[in-house]
Amino acid sequence: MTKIYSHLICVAVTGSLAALVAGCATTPNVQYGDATSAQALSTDFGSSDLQQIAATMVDSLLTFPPIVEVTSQRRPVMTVDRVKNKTMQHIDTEALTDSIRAKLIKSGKFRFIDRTTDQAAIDEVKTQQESGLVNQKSAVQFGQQAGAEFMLTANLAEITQKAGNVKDVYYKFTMNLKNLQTGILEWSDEKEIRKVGKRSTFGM
Amino acid sequence: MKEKNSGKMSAVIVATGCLAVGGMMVGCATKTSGLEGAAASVETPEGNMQSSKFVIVNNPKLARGIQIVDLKSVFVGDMLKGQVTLVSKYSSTLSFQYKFAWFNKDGVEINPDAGPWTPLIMYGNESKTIQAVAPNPSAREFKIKIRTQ
Repeated sequence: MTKIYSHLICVAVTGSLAALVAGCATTPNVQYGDATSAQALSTDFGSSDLQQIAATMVDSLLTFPPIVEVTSQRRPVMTVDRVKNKTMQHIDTEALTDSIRAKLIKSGKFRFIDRTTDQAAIDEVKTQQESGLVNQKSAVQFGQQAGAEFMLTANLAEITQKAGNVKDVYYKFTMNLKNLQTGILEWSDEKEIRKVGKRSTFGM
Repeated sequence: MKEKNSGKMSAVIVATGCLAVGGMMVGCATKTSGLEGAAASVETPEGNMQSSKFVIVNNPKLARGIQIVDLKSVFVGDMLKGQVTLVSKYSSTLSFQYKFAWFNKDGVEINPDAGPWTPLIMYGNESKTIQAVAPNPSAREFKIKIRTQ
């Protein structure tokens, strides 16, 4: 009887352990995640780094006293230059400047021109002017667009250090606001991010 | 005797079954609750700015390690800037993440879910201030959410 009894306990314990393991496994193993999460999976440049940089730069620019003074009277027209990616990684830096530009436009403090869509704009204005389809009273004229007063320029640098199985990556994003008339940098700020990763002894 | 034994056995099976179910529930659940602090700058009918603040603790374990000691809101130009002062009550390093949420004068959130969760490292018994600026000039109130990584 004792033997049966111990057998039953063994079966029950094994079953409960199996249930524990199986309890965490769901199929299919795909689910939506939080797009704003700060979960770092590797030392590579990630979505959270992009969001943190964009938020810091926008907060800094919007509260810099000389800029506050300018934007209290008018909404300056700006343009964004490409970020100089000096890291060893392939990073879509346009996604970063797009985020910064969207936040600045939504603040209601700045207006932007976008040179990347100029060809499509030229084609449209040409059509309006030359196709004969558009009423010339409402047709857009060439040479009427606003010129940018300021330009946002940026650098992204990376310093990597390795010691044993520890990898330390330091990112530094620098952004400047250049007055296109005078060439003076009216504002500048940096955001630093450090990520430390430890490789496991087995694998990787 | 046989009845007594089978009763014992079924009790053991039920107990281990309960343990397994409990283990399943605990094993997969990570506490994602945290602390919330709110501060508002409201204009009184006399034209003065009045501020109100409160803190909600949803995770007592986290609140034992970190404390929101002050919430401030100031205007920079017409943009609301929020500042939160945190104090670590542990002597070792703690890692958290925080997020700001902004509300207009009617209590409607501006750009919900737009702000990122930002990682924060606090060394032993350190006090730290964190700041953020509202997305646009309509903000009158902010909320800070803090949770573990």
